[in-house]
This record gives sequence, C-alpha cells and structure tokens, in this order.
Amino acid sequence: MSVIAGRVFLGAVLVFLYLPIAVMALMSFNASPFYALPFEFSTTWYTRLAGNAEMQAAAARSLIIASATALIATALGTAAAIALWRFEFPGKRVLQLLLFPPIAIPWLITGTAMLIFFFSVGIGRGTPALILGHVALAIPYVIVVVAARLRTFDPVLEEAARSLGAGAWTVTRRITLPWIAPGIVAGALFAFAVSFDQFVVSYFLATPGDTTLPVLIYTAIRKGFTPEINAVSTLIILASMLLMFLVSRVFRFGGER
Amino acid sequence: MAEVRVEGLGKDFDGQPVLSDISLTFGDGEFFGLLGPSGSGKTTLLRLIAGFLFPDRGRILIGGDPVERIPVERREVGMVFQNYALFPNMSVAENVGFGLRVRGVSRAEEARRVAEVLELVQLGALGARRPHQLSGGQKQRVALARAIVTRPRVLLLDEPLSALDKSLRVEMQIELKRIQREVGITTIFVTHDQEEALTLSDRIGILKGGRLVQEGPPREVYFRPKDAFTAGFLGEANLFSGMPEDGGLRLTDGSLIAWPAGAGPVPMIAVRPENLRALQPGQGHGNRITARLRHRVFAGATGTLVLDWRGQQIKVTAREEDLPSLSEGQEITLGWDRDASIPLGDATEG
Repeated sequence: MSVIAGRVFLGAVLVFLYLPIAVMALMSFNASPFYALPFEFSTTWYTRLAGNAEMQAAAARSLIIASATALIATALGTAAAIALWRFEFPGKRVLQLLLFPPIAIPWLITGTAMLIFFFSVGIGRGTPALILGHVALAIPYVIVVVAARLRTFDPVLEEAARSLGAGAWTVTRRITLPWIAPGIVAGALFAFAVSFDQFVVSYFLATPGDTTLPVLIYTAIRKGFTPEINAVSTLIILASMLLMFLVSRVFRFGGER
Repeated sequence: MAEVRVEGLGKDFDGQPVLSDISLTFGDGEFFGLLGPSGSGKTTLLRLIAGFLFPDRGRILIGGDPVERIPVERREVGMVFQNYALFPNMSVAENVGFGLRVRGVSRAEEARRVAEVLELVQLGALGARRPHQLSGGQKQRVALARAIVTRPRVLLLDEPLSALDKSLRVEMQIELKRIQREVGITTIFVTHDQEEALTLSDRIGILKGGRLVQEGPPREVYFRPKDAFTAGFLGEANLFSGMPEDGGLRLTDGSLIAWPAGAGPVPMIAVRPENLRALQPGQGHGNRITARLRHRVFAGATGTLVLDWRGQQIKVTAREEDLPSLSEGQEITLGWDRDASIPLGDATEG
C-alpha cells in the first residue's frame, strides 16, 4: 500500500519536474512558430539554429568559459581541499565556514558586487571577468565535493608512502590524488555546469556584444520568442543531463572501490 | 642493518610530557618488543624512531648516526602499520615495489627484488592481486614485504598482528620471527599483547606513563619483574605486602613468607598463579596461606581458582585435573616454593 503511494508520489514529482521540459523539447520539433496544434514534425528550428551565427558564437564562448572555469576552479579547489584536510592552522574553521556563503548568497548580489569590483580594479566586463567570476562561484562546489571524497581516504596511506621514501609531492601524486580522482572529476563537472548554466552573474559581467548562451537566450526572448529557443534549450538540456549522468557514474564508481 | 640507540628521549604533546627520559639500545639484528598499556607512550616512541615525530629532548642514533632531525622519508626505516595500509589503487607487486620506484631503481631490478621478497613471505604467485582480494594474513605478508624490500636499517612494527584472529595470529608470529631471522634486520615492535611480546622478542621493554619501567630478555622480565606493575602486566600475579623482617615478609595474617634465595628485605612479593598449589591438611612446607573459594574458571586445558584471602583476590592456575574440587565458600590452604616468591621493590601498584 505505502509502496504504491510512494511510487505515485515519485511519479508525480517526476512529471512536475520533466513535463515542462518535455513539452519544450516536443515543441522544438513542431513546425508552427506559435505552439499551434496539431503537432506537425519539422526540424526547421534546428536548421535555423545551424545558420544562426550569433547563437553559435555565444555557445562557443560559453563552452570556452565553462571549460576554463572547470580547469581553474578544479585545480584551485582540489589544492584547497587537500590543504584544509591535511593541515591544522589558525583560522581554519573560519575559513571553512567562509566557503559556504558564496553558495548561499543570491547570485544577483554576488553579480553586482563582482561588477563593481571588476570595474574598480580595471578588469571591467568581458571574457576574463566572466572566467574570474565563474571560478569564484565554482570553487566552493569543487572544495565540498573533493573534501567529501577525502573523508574516505585513510591518512595512514600517506604515512606508509612516506615511510617508503616518498616526499610530499610523490605522496600526493601517487597515493592521494588517485584515491580522490573520482571526486576531482565530479568537482570539475560541477564547476563546468555552474559556469555553463550561469545566467545572473554572466548578465552583469558579459559585454553586450559578446555574451554567453544563457544571456543571449534571455535577450532573444525579450526581443520576441521564436521556437529556435526551444531548439537550443533542448540541446542544452541534453548536454546538462549527460554531464550529470557522468557525475553520478563517476561518483558511484568511486563509492564501489 | 644497524644498532639503534635512543638517549634521554622525551616528547611533549601540548606541553604535557608523554615520553620522558627513554634510554635504550636495540641490538643489531635484535627483535625488540615494546610493551605497555594504552597511553604508556610506546606508540609515540615507535613514531619518534620512525621519524613521523621529532623529539623535544634526547637523541636517536641508527648505526651510530644521529637521525632525530631526519624526516621519515629520508630515514631508511621500514614500517608495518596496524591495518597494513596497503595502497588500494595498486597491485601487490606495485605495493611492494613502491619504495624501489620512489628510489629510482630500474624496472628490471624492481621486478627481480619484488619477486624475491614475495618469495620470502610466501606470496610468490599473488603479485597481480589487488589488496582487497587478499586475506588478513596475506595483507600482513604484503605489508611486511613492502617494508623490507628497500633493505631499511631498521624495521618497525606497530601492533602488527592485532587485526588478525587468534589462530592466524599464532601462525603469523612464527612467520614473522622466521622472516626476521632470515633477513637479520633490527626489529622494534609495539604491542599491548604480553603473550605476543614474550613469544616474539629477544628482549622486551615495559613502558608505563611515558617511562621505561624495565627491559631485558622475556624470561628475566617475566620471572624477575622489578615492580608490581610489571608483575601484573606481564601475566597474572598474586601480590602480598607486609612488614619485612629478618626471616621473611610478615603478612597481615601473621604468617611469615621466607625470602627467596638472594633477595633482601622488600615490602612486597608476588607469586604467579601457576606456582600456587592446593595443600592437603598437614601437607607441605614453606610458604602457606589459607583462602576461601570465590569461584572457579574453566578454560579448557587449564583452570583457575579465584579465591578470597583477607579481602584480597588470589588466583591459582593449574591443569584442570590437578585442581582440587571445592565448593564455593570452602576454605583451602595454598602453598608455594620459597623461590617462587618474586621480591618487588616498589610497593605502589600501577
């Protein structure tokens, strides 16, 4: 009885989550630009998308920024997580507490603060500002994910490696990093997603001409809706789901070992 | 291989001394057991010798070289950890070869030495296995092989057998001793298991409260403990205190315990439970006391009588069939040979 109720509830949640997305994906294949029914299959909007240079440039820029963000945030975040795990130092607790507000503070406020800061130090808007901003947003996620993995690591393994003659760098590279690799990959995918899906902060930091994909979509909707948006959104959703599927695979793989 | 010496070694944690004034020599090729209850500082001493910790006072010499400021990775020590600490991402052969690879030994030389040492620990065929595919005893052998393959000057073992179950532990004790003899490496091991220490060691050191209480060959320390703590920690001991007189120790019940040969007046003596015998009325000679049975413990081949003597607990251990049949509350006279008395210098109990 309760099992059936649970399944119905789960089904309802899934419908609530995925129905709007499914409708959008369906409509991206509908010939009518006005959501008119009956449904008539067409790939017009995808063809139109393929010819939309502005949209493609924005997508490429988003990919570059997200990749750079993932690379930088993962390197810095992993190093920070290892340092926080390995060393005891004054102010460590405070530092650890300070990692969480950036996750909780509304992006609107973070974005405003970043814009003001970047202008006052002369960086201004543009791709470097976007990468810096996204890295700052992504680092706490990387630290949290890598730290979770580190908690399963037995520090005696580092001692064993040292007793066998391995210096600090060799110990980290040969013993610690292989163990936390699944956490690092998951952290990188998170960082990529934080950047690629980022709208609010990007809206503040992008120069109006060369903007990111989410910002361009928003601007396009304001100008007048076209099913092209459905098409590009469907592609983004597919990519995001693939990414999250990878995260879950990597994490489960790590847990089994 | 080398002799290891510590001189006046001391270590503080948070301003509190956890190890004070330890001076000991571990002979070349010797198997030395460090024994003590938890908090006695035995693990701290092992970690100081390994180089995971640096001493606050004193010196550590390996083969005559002072090493107390050299960190573990450059101290050329081998260490076996309590839970083996095998690298989960490497095969058995890779685990064993790790120390050689770190030292830049060639691939061929590494393969040769790994095969050789795996043969020594009788794991020749298991090089390709992963640690999680091994039994506890096999992991133990891998850990040992990994620690000695680099030919360190000293081998350190931290509670090496505590994670194994009892029957396997005895088997590994024999193995450990065989391998240690074969390699001839100076070995220092830490344990809280007194039987293990007595079995394995050429010499043992008893630690208590961060100080070295006594050291010597197992027999000497067992049969001639210096104080009540050592007597009680290494095996069981019945303690009798009283007033020293010319003829012997006058107990509170008025009986006189003769001094064992060569012993001077001391305020306390100990008698091992296996040295106490039940006497028939009128039988026996020398030392005797009368005690009342509290209960009887059956442990297979041997049995133990737990008795009450003037409010104090007394234990008698013997082969089951040699113990008298008594009902609880019944009185019995116990006797022992004069030389079974162990004079104890220190009247305070640990």
